[in-house]
This record gives sequence, structure tokens and C-alpha cells, in this order.
Amino acid sequence: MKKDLQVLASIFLVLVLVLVVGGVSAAESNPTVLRTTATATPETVDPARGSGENDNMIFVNVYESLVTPNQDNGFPEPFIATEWTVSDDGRSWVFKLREDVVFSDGNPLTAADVKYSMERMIEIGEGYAFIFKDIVNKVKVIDNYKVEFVLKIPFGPFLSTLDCFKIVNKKLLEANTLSEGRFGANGDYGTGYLLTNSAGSGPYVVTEFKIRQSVQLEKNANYWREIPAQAPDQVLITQVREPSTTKMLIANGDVDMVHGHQTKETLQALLKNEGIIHGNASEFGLNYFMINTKKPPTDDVHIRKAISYATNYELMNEIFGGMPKAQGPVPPTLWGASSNFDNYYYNPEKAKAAIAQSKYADTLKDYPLDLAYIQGNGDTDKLAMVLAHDLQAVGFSVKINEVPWVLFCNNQKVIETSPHITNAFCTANYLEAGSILEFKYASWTTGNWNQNEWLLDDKFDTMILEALGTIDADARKQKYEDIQKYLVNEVVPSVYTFVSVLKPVWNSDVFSWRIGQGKPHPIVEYNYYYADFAMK
Amino acid sequence: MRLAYLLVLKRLIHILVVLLVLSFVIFAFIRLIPGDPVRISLGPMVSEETVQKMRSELYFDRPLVIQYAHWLKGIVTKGDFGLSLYTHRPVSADIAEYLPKSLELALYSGIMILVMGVLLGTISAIFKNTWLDNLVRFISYLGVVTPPYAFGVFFMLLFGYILKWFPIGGMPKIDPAMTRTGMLGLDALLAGDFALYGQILKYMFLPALSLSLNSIAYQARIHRSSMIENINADYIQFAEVAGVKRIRLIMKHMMKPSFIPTFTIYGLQVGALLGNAFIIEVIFRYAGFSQYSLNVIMNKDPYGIVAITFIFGIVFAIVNMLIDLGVSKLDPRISLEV
Repeated sequence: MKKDLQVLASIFLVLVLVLVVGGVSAAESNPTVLRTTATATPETVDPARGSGENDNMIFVNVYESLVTPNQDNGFPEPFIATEWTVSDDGRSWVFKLREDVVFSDGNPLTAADVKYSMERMIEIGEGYAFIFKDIVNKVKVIDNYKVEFVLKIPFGPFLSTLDCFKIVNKKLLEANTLSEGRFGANGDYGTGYLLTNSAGSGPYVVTEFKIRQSVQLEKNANYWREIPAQAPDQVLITQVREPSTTKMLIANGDVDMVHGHQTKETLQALLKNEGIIHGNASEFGLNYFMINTKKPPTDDVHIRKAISYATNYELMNEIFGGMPKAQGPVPPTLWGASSNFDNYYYNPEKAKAAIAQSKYADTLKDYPLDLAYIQGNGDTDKLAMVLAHDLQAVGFSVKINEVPWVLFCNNQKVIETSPHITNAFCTANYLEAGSILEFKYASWTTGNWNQNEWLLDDKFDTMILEALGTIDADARKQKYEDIQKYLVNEVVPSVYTFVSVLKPVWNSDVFSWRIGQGKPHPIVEYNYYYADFAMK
Repeated sequence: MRLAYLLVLKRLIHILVVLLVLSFVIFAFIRLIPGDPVRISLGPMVSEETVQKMRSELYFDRPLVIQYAHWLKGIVTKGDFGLSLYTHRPVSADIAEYLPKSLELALYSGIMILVMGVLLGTISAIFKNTWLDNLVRFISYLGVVTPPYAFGVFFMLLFGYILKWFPIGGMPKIDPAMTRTGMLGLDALLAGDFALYGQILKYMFLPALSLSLNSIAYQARIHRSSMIENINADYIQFAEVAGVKRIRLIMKHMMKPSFIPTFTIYGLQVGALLGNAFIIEVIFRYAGFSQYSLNVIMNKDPYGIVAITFIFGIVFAIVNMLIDLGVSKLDPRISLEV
């Protein structure tokens, strides 16, 4: 026994010794490495499979699209495609490609890559495929640098959607496609390779990808344009979800930037460190209280108006650290957003008057409202508490439920289990009002957590289909405005509290970027275009 | 010796049966939890056709028994635990990546628990009712009642942020060519890179310490009681009168019998380390199996959940079997029934 203990003690001493000696040789950080944390890193670097904000942050650096959003208004402008034509019936779009674009391995980007990328995305069926699956009929290669998209229906926002379509390197993927896989003759369609590797033409390449842990990017040595010398040579994005760890990493200078939504308390703690500042970048999303329009008593429009008037917008904005108030159903920076209507404001007396007009005026207490929010979703618990308090003050009976994410999604699969009111942030999928209007209110998009409203409204369905089928941009914009007026004035399906604003925190001594210069890009992920960063 | 082999064989059969029952029960329970895992994984906007296709490929649309049989066949024939909807790759690849890291963390924690727990318990028992004993007991109480995450945050703040002796979580980079076992420290040692090994230990020290303090405290209390019981035993009194040196008395005659309860509890503590590590792994950004387990549960990843249950079951069973063998070696009077 004595011997055993001696052996254990020796091992322990050796460990301590090695620990002390080894620590001395810690490597120094490279000044051209941008080290950033995110509350979530992408699940994949495959542009056919990802669609979240964290995915897009990587995609914009690694892949490129036919068009790129304008830096001021987000409207699509030429990029890989230098020009395009659309047929009179809106079903044929022909794009002429630049001839000097190469992928990171030196292969030229041609029309065949565009065709392959779209077909691959639709067949895989994940990520943004839902946008294109019902629109794109086929893609034809006209010549090496000319490609035609034949649509099933005229689709006005087609150009705007193209930012969600990233072009991948056909030759590289075909060389790395496993013959056995879920996609028949296409094997695994390169999904295994793209789980941890990239195949794009953007200014950065993925050099290391650890699923749900970290992503490392490096400048693309073969980039077809010039990458500014002051742009970081490497970018390391690490997933950190624990606020106390984030605070210490920033305080210790171990990271240069914190991405993701932080609570107000965390944000204030981070800003106490020297050189640490934060900026604002509006997202294409709003915080919504989604009201179930098919369950009593919220099936009565007067009750929904009462809820809208009982909402203390200013207090809620303050809880989130001063967000811009929402103007209506569509985030204000999204193309097609309108504010040409009277929106709701906090007025308990008007709320009481609206209740009095409803068919539930005398029986309101018999219909307690279920108010659900997602567990662990920042400060949204506080929003729910504020609304519950104000609703009770005007006569409602309210039951607040904190619901785990999995259950939140499941409850909203059918009307019966959808709560009376839910709170969540909803974000547009592509860069037009039509995107958010369709997936939040159209009858064919019910059953997902973004639409607790269960609108199922024929008039709305007709209006949105007409708008989406309109090719002329001005006419389409007018139709979007009519829809927003209809929703706000007549249907009142949701309470629009505030615009979702990203508040990144960074060390101003280490680098500068567009958000720091007060010029945020209208598309939030393009703020993270690392080629535009200037390391100091 | 033959008896030990038979015991191991019998235990292994027990473990196998328990694991089979356990995995089937977990399969059944997962089906009862609300929410379609495929829909959760692919997102709300993916078409129903794509969701159905994947459900079919993963056997989620078949009866429970058929799905279970398919899963079992995959394990037996290919060592395939199914596809993770959380990481989009085979669960076996996840296990291979994450489990060794947590085992290594548990190993260092286990060493700390044994060495520190026994040391503190022995000191406390020898100096019973002195200020030293009181101090150790106070520290032990503190250790038992303080949750590991509180230690984690405190140590990170003190040793990482204020004193800067240790890094604030994460792990140093290791050349993929160096990877053999998946245990970063062991791989560095096998490659002969002692500087890297030192660095790795430096990264692992605070998480391992935070993870082990609860158990050290508990172990110290158990060992103290056990030692005190033996101090008063007749044979110790006799040995003392017979002039056996004090250090020999403690190390040889008191330590060995005192070790039996200590060792039994130690087994339970070590077996539970993997499960207890999840918050520590999150706080210290340690990409291990416990953090992975938490994530697959939160995301309702069916094959991931069954696999982690399986692994936890195996680890617990093996550790307990080893402890039983160890105890019988410490005291041959404790017979092992086959």
C-alpha cells in the first residue's frame, strides 16, 4: 500500500512539474489573427444545408452569389453575374457571368458550377432549398459564362433570393463525392466533404472546422480580386455560450470580438473593459408577440387590438437596451417595408375600450391567456412578464409559460396546442418584405413556430401571391404596402415590439470595421465580411 | 485467479443484458418526448418531403422494434450507432472525437480525487480533534456543499483572469497528424512533445480541479471516518505497544483496511465524473463528451441520446467491476461470488 501511495504521489508531482514547466512555452498570438466568439457556430460549411445567421456569417466570406446586396439599401446588384435579362412572362432569367472568377483551388467558376450548385441545393432539400424548390424548374447552361434559370412561376423577388444561393466548386465536389449516399446517382452529393471543408470562390477558405466548436478561416491565396493587406490573415471563431467565460475572455484580451445576442447585463459588463466598445446592426427581424387568431378569446380582432394597445413598447425596448420600435409587420430595413399606417402604441384605456367592443367583454375571465416564451432566449422572459402584467391590468387573466425550444416548436404544429400568445424573434429569409410576410402569415406556411398566428386568411393569401408574382419592383413594393396596411388595420395578428438589433462587442484597439464606423451593412452578415476589416 | 475471470465474464454478461434493456427503454422514451427530431434538426422551413425522406432513411417511420433491431444490427455489424441529427455525422465519429477527451479529463480528476481525498482524510484522522483536523473538515464541508460550476467560475476568475496562471478555458492546438487516441495529453506524450503536454495539462488543470473538488471533499470525509475506526482497533493498539514505528503503522496497518470504503465510494465518484462534467466543460470550453451529451439531449437527437446512455452505462459498469476486483484484492476476506 505504501508503495502504491508513493507511486501515486510521484505521478502527481510529475504532473505538477510538467504543468509548471510546460506553461512557460505558451505560444504567442499572431497579430493578423482575428479572434472572435459566437454563441453558436455553424452546423456545417455546406451552403446547401445552412441558413442561420451563424452559417451566413461564414458563407459570405467563403462563397459568392450571382448578385450582391447594395451596401446602402440591400437591393441586389451585379457581382458574379455582370448583367441579366428577364423574359416578359417573368419565367426566364438569363445571367452573364464574369470570366475572371476562380475558386480557391484555381478552377474557373463557370455556368456549369451555377447549374450544379442550384440542382444540388434543391435535391438536398435543406438550407434555403425551400425558397427555390417551388420556383426553379430547371437551369440551362447556354455557354461557359451564360446560364438560364427557367422558373415554374413568375416570381418577382427572384433576384433578391439569389443572395441565398451560393455557388460551389463542381469539380472539387465531384472529386470528393462518395458513391454511397442519400442522393441516388449523386451519392452523398459531397455533403460529407462539405461538413468540414469549403469549396467556394470567396476571399477566405475554411482551414479548420470543428462541428459546434470552432471555425478557422484563412485568406484565399487564389482570390480573383485583391484582398486588402490590412484584412486579417486568419479568423478564428469559437463557440462560447457561457456569459462568465465570455466576460473573462474579453477582459483578458484572449478574444477581440464577441458576436451574438448578449443580455443587457453581460453587455454592460463587457463594456467596462478598456478599448471595448459595441455597435448596432439592425437585423431583418422583429420581436413579435404572435397571437393565435383561431382560439377564443384571441380569435376576436378587438381582443387582438386590446393586446396591441396594452403592450408597453417603450419599457420593452428599454429592457433590450434601446432597440428601434417596430413600424409594422416588416423590419424597417427590409426592402418593401412600409410605415404608412397608424401603428399601435401603449394606451391601457384604448385597450379597455377594445375589450368592451369584443364578444368576450363579459366573459373575459373565463378565457385565461396562455403566454409562452422560449426557455433561455435572452431577456424575452422579461418581455413576457411585462406584457402579462399590463394585460392583467386591463382585465385579462394570463398564465405565463417558459417552454423549452423543442416543445415550443412542437406545440405550434397544430392550432389546438398553439398558445394564445407566443414571443419570439422572426427573421426574413431573403431580402424582401415578401419573405417575412409569406412565412409568417400565408396559409401554406402554418405549422411552424414562426406562425403562431394561424392566419389562414384567403384575402391575405391572394394578396401575397399576387405580390410575389409581380416582376415590376415598384408595383411589387406597392402591393407589399397594401398587405401591411391590411394586416395592421384589419387583422392585427401580432404585436410588433421592436427591431432585432445585433450588438457586437469588440476591441477597438485591435481592428476597425464598418459597424465601428457607423456604417452598418443593411444585411447583417455582410458586416462580417472579413476582407473589409482593418487590423491595427 | 480463475474466480476473477469467471466474475469478469459474469459481470460482462450482466452489463450486456442491462445495456440492451436500457437502450430499448431509451428508444421507447425518446418516442414519447414531443417534437419531431428531424424537423427540429432541419428547421421549420424545410419541405415535408425532405423531412419524410430523412425520417425514412433513419428508420424513424418504422415500428419501434424494427427501428431498434436496425440500430442494434448497425452496432454489431459495423460499430455504427446511427446518424447524429445534431452534428450531421455518424454518432460513432462523435464518440471517437469527444469521449477520449472527457475520459482524459476524468482520469486527471480521478487521480486528484484519490490522492487529495486520501491525503486530507489521513491527515484529518491522524490529527483528530486538533486545529488541523478542524481545518480539513471545514474545507471538506465547503467542498461538499459547493457545486462544481461555482468552483469553475471562481477558479477561472482567480487563477485565469486575476493571477493569469492558467488559461481561461479552451485547449491548445494539436497537429491532426499527432492524433492517435483522441486524448490530447496522451497523444502529445506519445509524440514525445513534452512542452505541448505541459501546455495541455495547464489547460486541463482548472477544469479537472473544479470537477474533482466535490469528490475530494467527500472522499476525505469517508477516509477520515474509516481511518479513525481503524485507529481504535485492537490490532493497531497492539502494534503500537509492540513498538511498530508510527509511519509504518499508518501506511501499512491502518491505510489498507481503511481503503475499502474509500475505494468503493471512489468507484461511484469516478463513474459519475463523466455525467457531472457537462457544466464544467461548457464553462471551460472543453469540447468533451459531457458537453456533447447535453447538446444531443437538448436537441432531441435520438441516436445521440441512445449512444450516450450506452456509453455512460458501459463506463459506470466497468468502473464498478474494477472497484469490486480492487476491493477483493485489498481484503481477500471479501469473497467474490460467481
